[in-house]
Amino acid sequence: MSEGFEEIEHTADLAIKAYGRDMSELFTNAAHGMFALMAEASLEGPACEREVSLEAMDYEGLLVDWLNELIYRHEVEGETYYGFTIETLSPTKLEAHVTGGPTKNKTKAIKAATFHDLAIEETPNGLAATIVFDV
Amino acid sequence: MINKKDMKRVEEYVYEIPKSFRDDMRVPARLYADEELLDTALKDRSVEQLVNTATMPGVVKYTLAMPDIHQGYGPPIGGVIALKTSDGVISPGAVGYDVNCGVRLLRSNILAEEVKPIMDDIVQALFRGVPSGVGRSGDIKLSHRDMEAVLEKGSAWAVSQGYGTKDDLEHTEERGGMAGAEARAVSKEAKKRGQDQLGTLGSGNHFVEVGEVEGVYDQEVADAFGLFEGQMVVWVHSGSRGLGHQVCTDYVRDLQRAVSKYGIKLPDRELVCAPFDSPEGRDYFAAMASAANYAWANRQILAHRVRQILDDVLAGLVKDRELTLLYDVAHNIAKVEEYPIDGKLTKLIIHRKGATRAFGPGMEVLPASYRDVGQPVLIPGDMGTASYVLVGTTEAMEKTFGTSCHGAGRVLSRSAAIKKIRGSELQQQLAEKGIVVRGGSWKGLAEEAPDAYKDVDRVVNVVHSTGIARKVARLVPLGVIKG
Repeated sequence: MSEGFEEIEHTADLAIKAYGRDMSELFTNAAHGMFALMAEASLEGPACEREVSLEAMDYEGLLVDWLNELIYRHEVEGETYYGFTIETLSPTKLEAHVTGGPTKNKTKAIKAATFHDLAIEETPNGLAATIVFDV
Repeated sequence: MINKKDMKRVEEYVYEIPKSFRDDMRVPARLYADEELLDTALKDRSVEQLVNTATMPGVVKYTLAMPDIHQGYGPPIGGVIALKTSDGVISPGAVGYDVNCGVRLLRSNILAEEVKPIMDDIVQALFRGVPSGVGRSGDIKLSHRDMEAVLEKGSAWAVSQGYGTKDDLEHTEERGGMAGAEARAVSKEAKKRGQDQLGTLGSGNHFVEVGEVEGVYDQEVADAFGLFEGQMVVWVHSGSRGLGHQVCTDYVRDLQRAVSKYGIKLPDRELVCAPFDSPEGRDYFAAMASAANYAWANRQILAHRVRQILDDVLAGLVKDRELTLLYDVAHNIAKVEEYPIDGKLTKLIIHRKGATRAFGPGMEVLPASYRDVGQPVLIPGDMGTASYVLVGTTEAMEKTFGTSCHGAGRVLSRSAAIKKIRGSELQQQLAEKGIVVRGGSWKGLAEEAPDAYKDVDRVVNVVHSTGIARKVARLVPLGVIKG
């Protein structure tokens, strides 16, 4: 599993397991994993640069909010993101810089990231989380 | 892990997990299923999720799951939870991310035999004319004021804009516009997501299907519903699109704080909730009702498009091309309804997630022409087998808070379906059965293959045998478009 995430089985919807050596990398890989399921970005023309700033009650809440914010922007701006730089990350706050391009190929419409089975757990290599998406 | 031995059979096809099974259960949990459906349900987390719903504050009598049960977020799909409005909670997870995903059935005076020879043309025209597919936006871009009107008036707004007739409103649950909707409770993000999606089908398991009434089980009710054997009908299955999804996301997030504020203990974070009688609870109800109205407006506009397209394609072939609305039902929603609890008529908030209202005869809210027989209960199956029209019963009012199943329910994960089935082969197989299918992608088609779903005949047999909804007609697909 070289990419930092992998798709896993789920009856009605889509799920990924994301990995990271630390929390920032986990968040970054979760975002990569989600977009891998959803769409491709066009690389022609200048990239778009966006800022994300969120607050939540804990890391799990932040992770779900982060992914849902990206889903929202993807749908409303018509953009797909491929570069994620986490600038601030605490249990209650996230600030990130995100790079992407106009959406080129849509493969899946994801309604939302859910809390289902979501637990950020420690592994021998760092951290892992399962995220289930409602499609 | 729950086993069969933890469940007792209350009556044929009704199993109960007693309150004593787990310390945090406030009421028992009941599952409507035959033995095979029960075995399937025990294979994933759906029954455990059903047990979790029995822990929610203010829950009454028992929580329920219908025979199309499968694993969801928080409650299972097929879940029914009734809580007192006075001291119970309301939960976005118990409604679902696609608020008012639902279905309507249009009937005609056309014989299916007349249109079968041109089914390819019909499906092609529907596929071209009905906006569908992943991320597809429609032709309607709502202004801020229009958005507010859609959220507060639902189908009535659509009719006022020329999409369909007042008769359609008569034949829609809640007349296509739920009271209590307040546009201010819907976030600007949700409004933005929904701004250009009105009148679009979406993707996943949403579809438009031309079908035929293959057989009638109850002639009296079929007559009241205007259904006859050999009749051409059209299904429209869709929901509240990105707006509804965002409403759920927003409130699942915002109610996290309410859970700690009100000291609510939950076994699953997706059961996040707030007291119905609280500012947070009231806000969610207002937003959910608004999203439900958006979905009704959506189906109203989609049906109008279908009418226009078929009118065009069938001109010259068929004289009377009118399509009238049999009924429109929601299957992801929360409603305030009254039921006797401990001998007293009590106001309850009934959550139905992948479950359909099935009101029996005599209910005032039903259209006059159906009041003597009961509410049409529309059960779309998978695209290869069959769908059903059932009728609600007094039994449902007594036993399941006026609720029945909603469809076939998935058994195969999307990834397993894609591995097992190839979309192009599926299209061919269905064509050999006389069913024309067009979808937005091969993968999307494969994910929705009949094999990925439970047997709808079994599911309907359970609700019919238990008396909570009675079979009226069985319908078969002729042509289907999927996003």
